[in-house]
Amino acid sequence: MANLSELREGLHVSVSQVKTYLRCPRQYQMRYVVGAEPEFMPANLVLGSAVHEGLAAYYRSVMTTSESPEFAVCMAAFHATLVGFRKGKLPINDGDKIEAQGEALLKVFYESTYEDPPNVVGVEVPFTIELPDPVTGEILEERLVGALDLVVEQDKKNVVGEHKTAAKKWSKDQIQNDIQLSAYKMVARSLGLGQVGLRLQVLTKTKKPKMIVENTDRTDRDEREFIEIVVGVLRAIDARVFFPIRNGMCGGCTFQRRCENT
Amino acid sequence: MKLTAAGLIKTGIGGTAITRGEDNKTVLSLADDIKMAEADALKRACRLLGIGSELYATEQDDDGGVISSPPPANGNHHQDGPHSLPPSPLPPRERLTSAQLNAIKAIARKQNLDPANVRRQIKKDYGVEIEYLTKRQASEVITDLDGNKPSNGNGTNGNHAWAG
Repeated sequence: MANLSELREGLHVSVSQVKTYLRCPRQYQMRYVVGAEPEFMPANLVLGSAVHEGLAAYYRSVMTTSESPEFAVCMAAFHATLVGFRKGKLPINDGDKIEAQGEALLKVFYESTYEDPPNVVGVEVPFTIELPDPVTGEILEERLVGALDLVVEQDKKNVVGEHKTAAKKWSKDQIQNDIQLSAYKMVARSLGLGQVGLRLQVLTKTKKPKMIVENTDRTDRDEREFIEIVVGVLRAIDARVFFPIRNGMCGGCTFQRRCENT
Repeated sequence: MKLTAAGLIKTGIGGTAITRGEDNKTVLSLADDIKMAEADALKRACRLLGIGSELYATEQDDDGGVISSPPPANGNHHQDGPHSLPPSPLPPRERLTSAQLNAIKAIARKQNLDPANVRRQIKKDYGVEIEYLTKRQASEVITDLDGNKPSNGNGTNGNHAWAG
């Protein structure tokens, strides 16, 4: 399979795009439709991406050697990503604590995992699948494109894992309704991984960071609803429905000034 | 009342007047009234699924006067909730097709145009990223790029400066 950036060359939609639209249609318009220049890089995004790379480096090493690597492997990948962001032309908003926060989060992860590393089947597994319109049955022009963070084998069953960094523990509703996991369930089947289990690994950015592992699942209805949401969003974009959602998230929005002046 | 058939879900809300005694206060049989309201809701939900329209034939009293008539065919009856609206026909998709996007990129490649310049020019001309052109706009771009033969040298055609 082609790598993720090659897959993104075609007409596609991603879970992250859909989530952006659901959070704020105008933010979607600025970011994807108009391609506006962001005003800054949000620290949360930088931290999340860098930690993500640290975790991916750990799991890649486990997949190759079946053993946990040194902690330094995670930290090296974390730092390399951070440096990449810092070299970029956008300032990182509120970025002083990223280094310390990232190290603390990765340490919590490492300490809870290194003694008993999982049987890793895949890391950052790219995917592209067709989406059928639930009303007309036609296959959409846009393919769903993305990457599964992690696939491990446990008790003779594949489990798809998703890494998150979050301000606090996810609520039950968040775990049950997150559309990313509904997409993953569907995607894993189409990749030939069978009926997979779903696992959310949340690293909390609390004073005392924690790693919370939540096992969950999705039903056929959840998958159907996910497709309905994707198609609904795509049709709303076609109709140029880009209203703003003003709430407590606006302060962290990279298009805040431009949006206020619209 | 919610009816499901072949994946379609329709909701019907029914109602009936409460039958009272001669003093206009005593409720005679609330259970019968509730049953009638249920039957009314079922009829409405069935009608929205296209089942047994005869069930919704106008009811007449002994003198031929109309007791109840069916709600308007557009489903905008005041008792019908939002879920009972029949699906409206979906407008055709506006966004460019995958084939159009691939064609634009392929033509640009063939003509040795810098993809970043092509993207920039499209943003300038249409105010959107290449992936959000409409079908019509994408056709225009393809026609324009096609006319932009490499032999032009300067990479310009019509109003576009594809070479940046």
